[in-house]
Formats: sequence, structure tokens, C-alpha cells
Amino acid sequence: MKNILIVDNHAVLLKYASALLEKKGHRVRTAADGLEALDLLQTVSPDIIFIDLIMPNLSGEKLCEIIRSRPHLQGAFLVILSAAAIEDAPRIAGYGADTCIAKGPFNKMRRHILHVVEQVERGCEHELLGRIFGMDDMPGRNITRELLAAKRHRETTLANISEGLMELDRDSRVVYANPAAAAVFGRSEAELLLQDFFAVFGAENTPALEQLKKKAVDTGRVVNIDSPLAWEGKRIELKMIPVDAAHHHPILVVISDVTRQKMLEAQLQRAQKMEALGTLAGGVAHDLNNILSGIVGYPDLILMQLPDDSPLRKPIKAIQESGKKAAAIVQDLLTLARRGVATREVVNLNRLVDQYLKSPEFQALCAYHHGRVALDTDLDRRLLNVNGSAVQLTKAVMNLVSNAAEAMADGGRIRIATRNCYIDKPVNGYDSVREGEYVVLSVADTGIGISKQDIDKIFEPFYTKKVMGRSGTGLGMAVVWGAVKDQKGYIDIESAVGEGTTVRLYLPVSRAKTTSEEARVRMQDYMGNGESILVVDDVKEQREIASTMLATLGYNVDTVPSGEAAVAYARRNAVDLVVLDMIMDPGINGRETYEKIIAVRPGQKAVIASGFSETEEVKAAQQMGAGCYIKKPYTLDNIGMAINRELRR
Amino acid sequence: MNFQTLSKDIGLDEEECRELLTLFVETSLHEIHAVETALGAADPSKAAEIAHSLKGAAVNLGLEECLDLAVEMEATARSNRLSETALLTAEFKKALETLAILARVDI
Repeated sequence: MKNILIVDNHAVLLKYASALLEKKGHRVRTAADGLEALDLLQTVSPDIIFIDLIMPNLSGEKLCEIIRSRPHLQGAFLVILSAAAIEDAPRIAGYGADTCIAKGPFNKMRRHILHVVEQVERGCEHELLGRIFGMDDMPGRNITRELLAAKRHRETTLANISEGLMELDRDSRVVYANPAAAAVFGRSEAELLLQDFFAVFGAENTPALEQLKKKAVDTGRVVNIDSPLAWEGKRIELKMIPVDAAHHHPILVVISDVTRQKMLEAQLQRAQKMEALGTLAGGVAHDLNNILSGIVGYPDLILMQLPDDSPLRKPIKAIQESGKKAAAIVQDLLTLARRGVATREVVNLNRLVDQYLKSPEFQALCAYHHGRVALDTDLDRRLLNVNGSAVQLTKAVMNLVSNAAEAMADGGRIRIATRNCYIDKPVNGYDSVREGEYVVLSVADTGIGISKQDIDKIFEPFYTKKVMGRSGTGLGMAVVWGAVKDQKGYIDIESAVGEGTTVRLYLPVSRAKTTSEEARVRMQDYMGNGESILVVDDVKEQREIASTMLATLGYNVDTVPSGEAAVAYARRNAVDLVVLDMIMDPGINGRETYEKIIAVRPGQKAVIASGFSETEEVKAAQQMGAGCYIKKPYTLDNIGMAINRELRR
Repeated sequence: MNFQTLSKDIGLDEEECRELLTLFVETSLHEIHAVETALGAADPSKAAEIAHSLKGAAVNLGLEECLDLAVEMEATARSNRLSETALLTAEFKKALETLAILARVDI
């Protein structure tokens, strides 16, 4: 006596086969489709299972695969019943079936059904393996073949589309899931079948899903979920499509994992916001730079006129220092705008960290926090170099350490670490880090942490100052952002409230060697010798400052207010060097001016002065022969050294 | 239909054969109604799908007249000759009525 299960959606065959086998003393159960069979098989372990190949909801092939995946059913002998046995013959072993009986007249099928059962009873299953019984008894199959082909075409399409497709029965159990849908859940279709769809998403999502289903059924229309569901760290979008009543009210569900898409959208919005803020900040910075030139530049000239013991030296130096600090903030804004022309060089982050830790700024930070903040470092001694601005990167380190210290009002530890890193597949975190070689600098604290809603905004200018109550200018983190993006790097942040914060900066590696620092030069080393200089600047104060400084340095200086005037001047007069402002709206810019000047004076020496310039225009002018770039506001050192270097080139 | 011969052929007793035939008539009637609905909705592929299913059961019981009709129904539906399909469906229904009498079932 064997325990037998027959699965077929044709009632007449089910009745016949079960009556036939019961007459022989076997225990027979029946199921009208694959899902009913799976329900039964949760508690029953038949010896033999007859399975119709073509059934609605769950095909015989799929049912075989599922049965073979269930440990308690491994020993079952699977017999396919097929009206298209010839076409299916090569495939039955592939989905786990043992043998096949062609469907046809009962008087022929009877012989084969009984033969198979007898062989299994005798333990001679091996003689049945891979065989097809009753091929000669089958009627004309042309249309069956077409149906099979159409069915396989449909199955192939559903198996390969990128969107997930599921079908739910009227009780919201999963009766079908294509591979894309199964991938959303990280499970196989076999594991999803017969699961309660709502239970899969968890109790917190059930109200939204039930409402969606009700709306689909009531309206008879496709309904989309209002906003993506949060499920196991993913964001899931779905829509429900009611199918007509003749099919027992199933619901089709189109389902997509939009986690990555939403993250990229957030990153893009963040980047666009930063760009907009940066552009605004940069515009302000340009005007401020010009104004600051007087505050920064004139004190040098006044100090040169004062005796060493003059009581005015101290206040004038204080004015100059204030001006320099303001200029530093302007540079922060320019960094934020990412349109400041920063000096790019090969730098080693370990050296920057070392220098920062010996700097007055770090000493001041430690003093401010009354020694409650301890700092240690874990620097990779074989750290590779990066190509960037030492000034910007030092500022970034400084701002990160400052923020880390602020996060630990009652004291704590900060750790600065560096390491080389190769990313071989994109890392999706706060930023998406592409594959490549990176130097990673991390600053970690044991402070109060940052909430999720704040993390998205901490790089916005003034957010940390106003919203999070941090001290400073409020531009610190924005500067970090700008500095990293200028170096084409990425930022990653790990933080949670009460659990501290780690900020990691990923900077692309440079294989070049570092350039050594320039030795400090004394003014005597860059004095002029009466060379003629033409200063071209549309701002009167800038012309005056530059002219006064250059005259102090021993040059003969003339000035013109525009590029056009400079060209006209050059046609009439030879000069040793031109100091070119880049932006001179509404007239031609510095690059265009230089281009016209060298047409009449080939090889004309020039230096470019700018506080806010289009980097590409500066490069273009340098490619034409212009020399180095001087960052405004002018100081005696920077303008003097640049002109001296260019004249001697 | 000779139930004695059928019983001997398929290995069930006569009463069981009668039950099988009854089941065939009942399920086939249900499917014929579905074909008529599909024809009314001018849905030839649906009609063909059901006719295909009718074919299988007819083959199982050796009901050649029903089998021939089901084959024609499927073929005409697939080639969109729905008026012919409708005529064949009516004939199939008549054949079921005859079988119902044989099986002593009221339809």
C-alpha cells in the first residue's frame, strides 16, 4: 500500500485515477491545483505524486521544483502527467520529475499508472527513471505544442522583466512571484508561495497594504501606493491591479525596490542645493574680496612707514589680522562655491595632520576645551598622496576636529586615522563612492552623535550653528564638503544619537611625489628694479592698492580700468609685465585681454590676479603664456613674489 | 456508450463509470457555458483555451463524437471563425444532453 497524491485540474481524471488506485488498496489524496497540493504537502509525505504538467496558478514543473526543495519530500516519486509528453521529455529530469505518463484514453493510461505504482512498490523505481509511457496513445498534438510554446514564451517574458510581478489569491496569499519579485524579498519563489503577502511586509505596513488592496478591489482600477514602504532597510514601491471576477478576484502586484533610486535622488538634491548655496556664497565672496584688499594690503604699507616702537603698530597689525581672518572666511565661502581657484599640489595627508596638531589653532582648540578632549592618531605610514589643496584639506581636518570636540561637551576621545583603500565596487552610503584608489581620512568622536534628520543637512551653511547650536562661523562642514568635492572625493558619515560620529573623507590617490614647501622669502629678495608694470583691473581700489604696493617694491606702474584699454595701451607702449584681473564685466575678461595683447606683443609676460574666477579661463590664459596666479586680496608678499618669479622666468 | 465495455476497459465498475460520465457531463456543461460567454464577448482565444480542455476529458473517456467536436471548436476559435465555433458548441451541448440521459443525470 502506498500513499499517493494526484494533482490535476481536470476533475474527471482526478476522480478516475483516485478510484483506480483506491481499488488497488492504496491511500489516495487529490488536489485540484498546485497551491492546493502545497497546502496538503505541509503535513503529508506521499510516496508517489502524480502531477499534471499544465495547471493554472502553479505549473506542474514549478510544483516539482518546490517539492524537490523540501527535505521531507525528497523521497517522493514524481510522475508527470502530460498531454505534450514528447516536447517535455528532455526536461522532466531538469525540474526533478522521475517519469512521465502521456495523457490519453483512460483504457491506455490505466496500464501505465498501475505499472508505475507496482514498480515503486517493488522498489524498482530505477527502471522507470526518465521514461515516457504512453507516447503511442497520444492524439494529435499540434495545437498543444502551440499552447505550450505560447505558455513558455509568457513564462520567459515574466522571468526576465526587471519589474517584480506577483499574484495574490483572494486571501492575499502569494500564488505567483517572478524572479524579480523574489529578488526584492531576497527569497526564492518557492519560499514565497502561499505566504500571506501582508505578513511578509510586517504588521507596520499592513494597514497601508490593506487599504491599497481594498481601493483596487472597490474601484476595479490600478492603484499605486502613496509613498514607498519601508521594509528591512529597503524602500519598496508597489501597485495593485485587480483582475476580473471570473478568476476568483486575484490581485496582481507590481513591485520594485527603489532604495537605490531614492538614495541617488537625495544625493542629487543635496548636491544641487549645495551648488545653489555655493553659487550664492561665491557671488558675495567676490565683492568682499575686493573690499578686503584695502584692509589687508594697506597695513603692510603703513607699518613700513612706522618706527618699530610706534604705539600704532599694534592696532594696525590687529586691523590687518582682522582683515586676514575676514579674508579666510571669504576663502571658506569660495571653497564652498567651489569656484575659488585653489592651489593644487601633491600632498600627503599624514603630513597635514601632523602640521595641524602642532599648529596654534589646535593648541587653541585644546585650551578652549580645557583639556577634556583627548586625541589620538592612527596614521598609515605607507599612506599614498593626493592631489589637492593643502590649505583646503588642512581646513577640512581642522573643521572636523573642531566639530568632533564640540560634540563632546563633557569630554571624550577623538581619533584621526588615515589609510589607503581600494574600492572595487561602489559603496552606497551618505555619498556613493565609485571604484578606485583612495586615501581615506577619518575623524571619529565619542560624542552625542547626529540624528538622521540632521545628517542630511549638516553640510548646509550655518545649519550646524543655528540648528545644532555649534560655535564657529557655521561654515565648517560646508567647507569640508566643498574641499572634498573640489578634490573629486567622497564623504561618508556614520552616526547615531548617543553613539558618536565618524566622518570619512575618500580622496583619489595621486601617484606623484609631494612638492616641497617654498622657503619663506624676505621682501628684499623680491624687490623690483624699476621694471614697468601695467595693472589691469576694473575696480579702482584694486588698481590703487596694487599700484601702491608695486611702487613700494620698486616698480614703475601704470594702471588701466579695462581689458580694452589694456590692449590699446599695449599697442602704444611696451611693458615688462602685465598684472591681469580676470573678471572685468561688462568688458572682455583677463583671458581675452591677454589673447589680444600677445597678438601685438608676442611673449608678453603676465600674471593673473583673481579672487573669483572661472578656472578654465585662468588655465586658458596660462596655456597662452601667462604666468602664475595671484589670489586676491593682495599682500605685499604674494604680489611681490609672483611678479619677481615671472620676470625672472 | 456501453458501460459494461467501458468498465472492463478502464478498470472501474459500472456504477463508478456512470459517476465518471456524470462528472464529465457536469464539468463539460460548465465549460460550454464559459465558451458561450467567451463567444459573446468575442474572445476567441478564451474560447479556444476552454475547447482544448474539453478535448482532454473527451479523449480520456473515449468519447469520440465529443472529441471531434472539441477539436473543431478549438480550431475554428483559433482561426477566429466564431460563428462556426458557436454552431459546434451547440452540437457539443446536444451530445452532452445525450450523455446525460445515458448517465441518468438531470441537466
